[in-house]
Amino acid sequence: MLLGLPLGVVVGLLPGLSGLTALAFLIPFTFGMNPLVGIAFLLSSYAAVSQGGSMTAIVLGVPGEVPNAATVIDGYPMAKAGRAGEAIGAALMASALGGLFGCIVLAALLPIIQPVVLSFASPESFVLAVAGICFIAVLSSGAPLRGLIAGALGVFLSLFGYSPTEGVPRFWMGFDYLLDGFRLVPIAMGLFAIPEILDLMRTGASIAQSGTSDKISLRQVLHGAAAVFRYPGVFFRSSVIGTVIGMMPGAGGATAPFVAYAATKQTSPDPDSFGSGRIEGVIAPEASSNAKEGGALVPTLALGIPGSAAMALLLGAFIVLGLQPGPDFLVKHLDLSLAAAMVLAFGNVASSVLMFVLSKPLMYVTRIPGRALAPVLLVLVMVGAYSTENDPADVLFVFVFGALGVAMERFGYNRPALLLGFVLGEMIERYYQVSTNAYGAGFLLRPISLTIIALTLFAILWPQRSRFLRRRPA
Amino acid sequence: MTRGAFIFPALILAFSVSMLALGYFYYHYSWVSFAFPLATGLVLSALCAFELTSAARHSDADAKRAQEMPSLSLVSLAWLFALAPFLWAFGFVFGSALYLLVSLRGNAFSWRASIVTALVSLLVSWALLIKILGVQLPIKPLWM
Repeated sequence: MLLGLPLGVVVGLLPGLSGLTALAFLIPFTFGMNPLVGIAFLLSSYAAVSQGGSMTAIVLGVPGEVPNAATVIDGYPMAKAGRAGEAIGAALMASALGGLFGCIVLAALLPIIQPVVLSFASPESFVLAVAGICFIAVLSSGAPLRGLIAGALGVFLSLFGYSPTEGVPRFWMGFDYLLDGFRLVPIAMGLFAIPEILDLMRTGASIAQSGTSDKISLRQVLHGAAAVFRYPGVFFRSSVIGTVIGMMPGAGGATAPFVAYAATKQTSPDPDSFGSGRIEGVIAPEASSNAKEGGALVPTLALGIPGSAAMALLLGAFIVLGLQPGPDFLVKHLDLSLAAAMVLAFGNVASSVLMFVLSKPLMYVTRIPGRALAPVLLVLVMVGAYSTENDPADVLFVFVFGALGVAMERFGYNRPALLLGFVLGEMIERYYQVSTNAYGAGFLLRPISLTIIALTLFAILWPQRSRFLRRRPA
Repeated sequence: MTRGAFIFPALILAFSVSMLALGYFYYHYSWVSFAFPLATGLVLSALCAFELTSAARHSDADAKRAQEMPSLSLVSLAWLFALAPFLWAFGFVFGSALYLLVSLRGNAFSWRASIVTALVSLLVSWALLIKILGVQLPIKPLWM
C-alpha cells in the first residue's frame, strides 16, 4: 500500500492519465505477489488516483477522470473565487468518508447481495444510464434544453466507429482514426482543459481572481473538511446514491457523481446558486464518487461481473493473482473479500491524508500567473492525450474538441452532460440491443425500469412545479 | 437573439442530419447497425430544432451572456496552436521543453525561470513518464 498510494497520487495529478492507466501499469508488478498484498497494492493506488483527479478538477478545472467532471461544476468556481483550500478540504473529507461508507456497505452486503444485484438486468441498466444523462442535463444547468442537446450529442459521438452488434464501422468517412470511434481522453481534455487554458492565456491572470488574496493556509482546507459535517444530509444521500449505482453491474459508475450532484442541487433551497461555487456541489459528487467504488466491488467479487472499466481490469488482476471472482469466491475467500473492502477503505482515508499534505502547494497553483501556468498545463494535457493511445491524432482531436468546448462554454451548453453522454453512449446502445432482443419492445415496462422512469420524471419535474403552478389560470 | 446562439444549434443539427444521411444513402447500414444511431440522431435533431425555435424567446438572456463573454484573443490562440509545430518538429520530449522555454520568455519571464521550467519538463517527460511509468512518448521528431 505504501508503494501503491504515492504512485496513484502521481498518476491522478497528471491530466489524461486515469485509474485505468494506473491499474494497467501496476498489474504486471503483481505477478508472484501474495494475493492479499497484490490486492492491497492495486486497490490503494486506484483509490489514490481518484483523489488526484478531483484535485485537478478543483484547482485547474480539468477533471482527472470522468466522474471528476461533476466536481468541476462548483469546485473550479470556488478556486476562482480564492476558495480552493475550502473546496479541496471538502473534497478530501467527502471522498474519505464516502469511500469508508461504500466499503462498510460492501462488507455488510457481500454475503447477501447476490439476488438483489441479479434482479438488475439490461433494461434497468439502459433506463438508469439514460436517466443519469437526463438528470445532469436538465438539473445542473440553467438551460435544460441545451443540457439535453449536449447529452444527446455526447451519445451520438459515442456511436462513431465499429458497431457493437455487427462490427460495421459507422460514420468513419475514410479516416482510420474513426474506425475505433472518438476517444475519451481527447474529448475530456478538449472540452474542459482547452477553454480554461485559453482563458488563462487571454487574461494572463491567476486562476484565483484578484481581490481574493487570502493567505494560503491549511486552515482553509480544515474549514472545507468541516463543511462535510455541516451538510450531513448531502453527504449521506450522495454516498447512498454512489453505493447503489456502483453496485449495479455494468450500470456505469460514472453516472453516480452526476446524479448525486443533481439530487443535491434539486433539494437545495437555493438551486440557482449552484455552478457558482457552492460547497455542497463539491461534497455531493466526491462522496458518491468514492462510495461507488465500494459498491462496484460487490458485483465484481460476488458475481464476477465488473461494475466499471476499472473493475474489469481489476477482475483480470484477480485472475493473475490466482483468484476467480464469482459466487464461489465469497464461499472460498470471504476473508479476502472483506480484506479487499478494508484495503479500499484504508486506501481512501490514507490517500486523503496524503493529499492533505499536498494541498498547500496545490493551492499555490491557483495563484500562479496564467501566462506561466497555461503553457505548462497545455504541455501536460497534450502529453496526457498522446500517452493514452500513443497516437498523435489524439493531440489534433484535443484541439478539435477544444473548439467545441469553447463554443459550448460561450453559448451556455452543459459540457459535463456531453462527456457523460459520450461515456455511457456505447453502453446504452448495447443494453438497448440486448433488451429489445431479449424482452421485445416492452422492455421498458418491467417493474424496476418503470420505477426508475417514474422516479426520474418526478425528480426532474418536481423542481419545475412552481413554474407550472404559476402558469395555471386563476 | 445573438448570431452564435442560433448558429451553434444549427451546426449541430446540420452535423447530425448529414451523418444520418451519410449512413442511410452512402453506407447503406443494416437496420440493426443503424437503428440506434438513427433514433439518437433524430432526438438530437429534434432538440436542436426546438432550441432554434425557442432561442428567439431567450434573446435577452443570450444577448446579456454574449456581452459578458470576453472576445477571443488572437494572440492567445496563436500561443495555443504554437505547441503543435513544436511537437511535430522536435518530438514530445524536446518539443515540449522548447515550447515552454519560448512561451515563457515570450511572456516576459526571466531566462532563468524559463530555462528551469524547460529542464523540469525534460525531467518529467523523460524520467517520470518514459523511464518510470513506461509511457511511449516519441523522443524523435514526428516527421522523421
